[in-house]
Amino acid sequence: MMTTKYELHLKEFLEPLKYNDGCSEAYFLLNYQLLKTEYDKSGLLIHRFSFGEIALQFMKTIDASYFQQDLLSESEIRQSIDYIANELLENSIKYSDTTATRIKLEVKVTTQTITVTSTNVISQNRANIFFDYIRKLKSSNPSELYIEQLEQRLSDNNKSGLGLLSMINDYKAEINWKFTSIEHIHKILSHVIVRFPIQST
Amino acid sequence: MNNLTESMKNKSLSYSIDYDCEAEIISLSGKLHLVQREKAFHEILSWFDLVIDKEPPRVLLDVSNLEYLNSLGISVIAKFVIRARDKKSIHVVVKASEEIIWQTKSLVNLKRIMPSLEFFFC
Repeated sequence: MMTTKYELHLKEFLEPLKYNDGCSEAYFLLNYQLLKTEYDKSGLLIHRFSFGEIALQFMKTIDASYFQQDLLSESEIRQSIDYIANELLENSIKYSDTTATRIKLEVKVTTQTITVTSTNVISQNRANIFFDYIRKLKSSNPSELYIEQLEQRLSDNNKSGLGLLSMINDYKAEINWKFTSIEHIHKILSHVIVRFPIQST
Repeated sequence: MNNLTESMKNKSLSYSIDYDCEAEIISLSGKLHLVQREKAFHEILSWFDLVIDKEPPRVLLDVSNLEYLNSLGISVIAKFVIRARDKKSIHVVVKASEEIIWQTKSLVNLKRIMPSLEFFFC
């Protein structure tokens, strides 16, 4: 059954926890082709595991007293990671080059912030579209752009980017991008890096 | 009048849409990750359109049991609010949960789209 392939076999998909310099990291390697097939067929993403829950468990493994009083609640942290990781994952599935095989999702945790990074292979065309979008984002007021996007009709093909805008406006996230050329196959490796604060104000 | 209930179950996502056509209450529960052109997406849009076309004086959208919603889902709800706003005669109340983060963070933007919208957080 297709669904069994999404079960999280820890040694296949999950790099063991690393801990150095007060920062913990974990990453998930996901099978792009399987996810894409499922996405195109039934249009539904699998929520069989919670990235947020896994991240929380890692944080507690490092330090049982990690959750000091001045952090956001566990529930808020879990839900925030879930939202952000799922949005990034969906974008990766939608926009990866069709020859891609893997999508990587990394979660990095410090006492101040959580960083979720998605890495996937894209075409040059797709990279150009992203560059335009990033340019637009950086030259606009994200709050205004967010409301503008929400006001637009759903039939417009303009719905990508709402996820990122919601992260900036609603989760106080800072988003950075890194693009690396993969010379021998004329593709680009795209990294979308979303960092948000977890200190309670 | 009977309540109309639509329950869509999926192996991985479980959600339900309830519409009380007498009290004009639409309830969304469970976890919803909407994707363009996919069944649940069209289903929810149809229910929303149905309610808007009736032009009730008041409609309650209850998402207090909707644990997860993705950004497309948020924009679908925003579209519903915009259509209600443009009808001018529909008062929208949204029942939300303080424990559910997408609601405390993202749903509140609806007030910027429709200032008269009323929130009820439980």
